Amino acid sequence: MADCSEVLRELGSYLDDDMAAELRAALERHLAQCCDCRVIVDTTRKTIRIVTESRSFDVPDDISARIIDRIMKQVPGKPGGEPGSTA
Amino acid sequence: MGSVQADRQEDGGLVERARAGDRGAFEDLVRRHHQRIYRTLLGLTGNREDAEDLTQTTFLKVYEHLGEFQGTAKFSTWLTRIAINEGLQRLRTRKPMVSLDETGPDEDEGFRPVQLRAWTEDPEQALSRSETRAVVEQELMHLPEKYRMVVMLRDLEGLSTAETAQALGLGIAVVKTRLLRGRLMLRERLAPRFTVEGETARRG
Repeated sequence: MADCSEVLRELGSYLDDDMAAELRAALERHLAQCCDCRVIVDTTRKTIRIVTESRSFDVPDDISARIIDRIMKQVPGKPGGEPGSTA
Repeated sequence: MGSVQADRQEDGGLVERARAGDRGAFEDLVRRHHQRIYRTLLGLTGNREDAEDLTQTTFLKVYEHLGEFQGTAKFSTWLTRIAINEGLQRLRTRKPMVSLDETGPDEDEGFRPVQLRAWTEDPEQALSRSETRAVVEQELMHLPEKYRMVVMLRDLEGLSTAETAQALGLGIAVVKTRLLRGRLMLRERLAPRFTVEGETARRG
């Protein structure tokens, strides 16, 4: 049977579903009996979901347009230039 | 993962055309990737002006070096690697010691979770979208860079572990260790906002 420190050590692989079935089963037997570890697994999953869905550091539209514009102004050739028109 | 494969092929085609002098193809690459690069640089530097400026620097550098791009890596991973190097150089002008390298004695130290209370079933409902975003941004910025960048590339940008390792120039094992540590650190910081009042996890 796995213990709390083993759950913590293997948590990354467990969450990313990247472990052997046998180890997974051993961890899950421990989880069924350990409230603290269940909370850690559940809240870490929620942490990942919150980060993924947060759209953090998104780029405002005006900044997005300005970035593209400034980059393309420094790339040789004319806007809308055809292949081969590069200076 | 068909769309990832399609994206990769599409990027490859655009790179080929841009190399041949097709300015429009390069602009398409900028349009496809600048938001991701800006986010990564904002996460690294914590400063919007730096992120904007460095996004431009990154793409101009990429344009200059398109000929060196090896089709063996994904274009987006190569681009991210260049952006991170540009960002680190900028940071070092202010904080000479900043590094994402594999050094540091803390890598293998155990990390003990302290917050053991259950969270509400649907933490996304506890705050508005914009509040959640502000909280995540703020708490991510509290993590040391080496953990923050791994969490951002994996959980915000959706890179695989292998791509994250490539983009940061790190080994896969180090990325896995840092990812777990970063996620757990972030969990500790988010916990007070999402715990269910009075519902304490039993010990033992």
